[in-house]
Amino acid sequence: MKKNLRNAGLVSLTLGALGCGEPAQPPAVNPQELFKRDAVSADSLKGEEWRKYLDAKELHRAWVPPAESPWRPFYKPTLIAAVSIVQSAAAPVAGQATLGQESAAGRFANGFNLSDAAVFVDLPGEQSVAWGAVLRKVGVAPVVAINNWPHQNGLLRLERPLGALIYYASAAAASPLQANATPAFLLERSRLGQKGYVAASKDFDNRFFHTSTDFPSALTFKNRGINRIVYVNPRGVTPGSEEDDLNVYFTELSKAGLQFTYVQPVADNYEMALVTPGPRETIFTAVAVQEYRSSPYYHHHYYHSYPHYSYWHTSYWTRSSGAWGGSGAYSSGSSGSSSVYYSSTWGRAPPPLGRFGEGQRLFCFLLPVSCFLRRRDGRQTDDGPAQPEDRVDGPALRRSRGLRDVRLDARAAHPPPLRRRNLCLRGDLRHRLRLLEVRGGGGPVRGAVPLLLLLLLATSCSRESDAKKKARESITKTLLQTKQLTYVVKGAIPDGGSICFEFTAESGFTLEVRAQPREFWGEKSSYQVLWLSDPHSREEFALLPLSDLERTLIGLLENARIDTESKADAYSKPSRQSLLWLLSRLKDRSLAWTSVPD
Amino acid sequence: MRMAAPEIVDRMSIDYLMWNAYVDGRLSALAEPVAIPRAELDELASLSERFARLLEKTIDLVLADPALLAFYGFKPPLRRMIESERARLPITLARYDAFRTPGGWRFSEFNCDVPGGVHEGAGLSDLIGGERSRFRVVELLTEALCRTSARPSVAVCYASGYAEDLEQCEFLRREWTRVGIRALLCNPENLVWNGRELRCFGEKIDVVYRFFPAEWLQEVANFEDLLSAAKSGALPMINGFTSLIAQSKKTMALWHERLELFDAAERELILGHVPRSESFRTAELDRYRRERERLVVKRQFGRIGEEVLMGSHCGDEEWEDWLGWPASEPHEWIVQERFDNLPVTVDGETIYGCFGPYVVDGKFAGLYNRFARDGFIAFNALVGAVVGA
Repeated sequence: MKKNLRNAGLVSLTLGALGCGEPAQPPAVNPQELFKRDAVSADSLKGEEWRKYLDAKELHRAWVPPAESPWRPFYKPTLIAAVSIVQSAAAPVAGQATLGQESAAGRFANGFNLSDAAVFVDLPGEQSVAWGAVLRKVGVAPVVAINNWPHQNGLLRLERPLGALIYYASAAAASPLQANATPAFLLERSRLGQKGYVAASKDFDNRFFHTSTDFPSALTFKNRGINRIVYVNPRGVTPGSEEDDLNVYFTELSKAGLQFTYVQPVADNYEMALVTPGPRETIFTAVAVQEYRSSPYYHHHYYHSYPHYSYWHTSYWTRSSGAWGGSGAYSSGSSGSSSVYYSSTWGRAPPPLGRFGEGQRLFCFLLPVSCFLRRRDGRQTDDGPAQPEDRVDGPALRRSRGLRDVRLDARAAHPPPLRRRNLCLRGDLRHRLRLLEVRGGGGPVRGAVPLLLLLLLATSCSRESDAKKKARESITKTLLQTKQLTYVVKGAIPDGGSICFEFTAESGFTLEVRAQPREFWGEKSSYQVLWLSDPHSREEFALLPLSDLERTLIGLLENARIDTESKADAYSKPSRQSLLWLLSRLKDRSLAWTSVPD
Repeated sequence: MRMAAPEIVDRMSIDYLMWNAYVDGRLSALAEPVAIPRAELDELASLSERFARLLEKTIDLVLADPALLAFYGFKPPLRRMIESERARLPITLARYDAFRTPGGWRFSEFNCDVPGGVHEGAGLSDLIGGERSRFRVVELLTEALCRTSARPSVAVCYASGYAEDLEQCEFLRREWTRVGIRALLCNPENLVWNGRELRCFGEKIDVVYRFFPAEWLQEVANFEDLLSAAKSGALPMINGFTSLIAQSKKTMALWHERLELFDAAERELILGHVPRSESFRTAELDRYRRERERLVVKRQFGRIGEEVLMGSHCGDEEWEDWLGWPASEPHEWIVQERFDNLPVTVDGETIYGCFGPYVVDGKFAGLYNRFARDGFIAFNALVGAVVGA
């Protein structure tokens, strides 16, 4: 039966791929329409070489960062690979809005020093690509991060950024990049779609979201001499203008000392402002709340590495409606009995749910919108630019016929949807970030690090401030009087890799030990650096090897009790393995840094 | 350990749609194939086919005996799914997790619902292993699709917001399209049952290739419609709902607890190649505490290392704490004996492998192999090809 159809018409295969072959109901849209709007016959170099880039391999070659580039792991070939199924219909896309962005990007590139900056371009996809093409001319490496496919019935018009990638491919291929070029991550602003919209059966739901691990960590940036983040977006130059899925990530970077500049293209120019991103309520906030409502038995040992099936269907889009003021947020008791329950068997009260009020309101979702509310011929042919900003950020639709409870099993709770592990944050450890304030003025961190380490070590050894001396003496005295320590919390600190261990004494005294990676901010220390502090004094000092204090601490830690219940949350449970990890490094400071076991 | 060269990674990205070749910022594909004695690989293939037959028999036994079905403690929606399947569908595509141990091959999981890694297995086998002929999943799966119709229309159904799932689905869709099979990408809510036929984007669907775990289907808006279609016999799927029985880790407990249900050869297979498994019982908590080092506790539908509690990975206090979860819902968990995984050496470094034999329609079809430095296979495992030595 295996009839090889490789020689069959590309159009027919493409039609099949796009689900629009045989005439059926509803009337299928010609896939050529996907690339009809703003399609042009010549590429950005005014030639026809774009046809070469209808081959996925060629398009990939044009855009992939060099193999040795540190940004290569963050490049997503997803959208580029899609050219293989639409190649018979695909064409370069360059509308007026896109070309307008070229001008804005050009002005920006010529007026802004990007030598120590990473750029995130978060505009409608084709405009992001235009920025990437312009930035590439000044030596910035565009990193395509659009992570889903176009579809004839797609909620997102991802064929438009794909068309733009084709349009600029010749120019991109003609300007090879240095491996050490700073990056510009190209995002699709409409990726979350119309928040709260529940897809109908005729919609191909190609919305997607980013997690922090889709992008480099603060440490990676700093190791590459990047101190600043430039965020180009259509919403504004004030905190909160970042898209919801970037908020946590940007906040982490900001707390790790990276400076942010938000840029908003305006006509063919741009506005910009320095911004400090901070935590805010987003459509993902509910997830963070939900973590804490898991059972007392919940551990991050139970970490779901691949939770997205449940998350996708029951959490993400579901919560969208509530979080964005859709019907879910307006539901009343009439929606039925509580669909989310906090079983009393866990013995833990539900956490406050912020402005959402009662838990059950949070998890209602809209029934699929009736088909008649959509255009009969789909959304393809006469829409404006892909998911314009007013659609992206507007309020959720309120056209549902009613509400339906979503049954969520409290036991099936899981952490945020990270396929890969991320930093574990503990809010009450953030004061540690003051360390970053010691950084040298203005220059690249890499250059400042040796000086910083020397400064810190020298400070702790011989030129301690009065406050540090006082803290050292106080902790030494307290530990000498302590019979037993209780290990209560282990958590990662968003400074680029440090791990904090928290202990309490019978007197109520709290001791924090911070283990700093051997390779920190691009420099490698010759031995394991450990910092001690009492969070009340908020002064931190280095624990000197072979000191009396070190010996005392080793003795206490060898007999420490482990308390997994009183203070730790799901991410910060102490364990014997992690305690042994710390002890081994206390006893032998030459041990190589390894990840701290859970 | 050397990782795959950039040009290989590029080919994996575009030809095999492996868009997540990097995990945690690092390449995850080994540059060289891992050599395993040929005889061991042949034994693995043979054992896999025997297990495929055993799983089919087990499903038949369970469906025929309500008491056995009750043993699984499935929640009502899952039972409804299983009961909706008018004519039982065989497990068409499965991938097992097998480990080399001092006592021979041990099988610790049977992925019979939505096994993944097909495109990665194909890419690694072809580009690194150089033994394309040994990876026959696509070929055999295509034959299975065409069992009842020469040119079926296939709905390739997955969680469409996730590129990592799109990888495998598009890889299969592309391969099927190449041989003239119409295949449409969709998510479960795109499947429309009108009481007579199943449609997707207006087209009649003959077969659904489901890459969406059955236990999550209960959350989709058209769940009742899909059940109705299944009851009408209009939801032929790869794999069917009854595959959930084989997917459940409680099947391994059933095998050990009800050995009398099986013949001598099957008992030999179970006792020789499945770690001793039992249902989690709260009455046995003291024993579980005492035997921490040798026990692993698993949730029946945990996937990719999720919800697997290894006693050897914690201390007594933690173990005590960990056991609280299964103790609160014992019918969802099993207890299994830990086994030692034999290491393999790659580029002078010791790693531990999890070998994933695919079985398509009862036939061994190739391997998808993951490796970890600490022996715990999770989301960040390395992947690699395996060749016979």
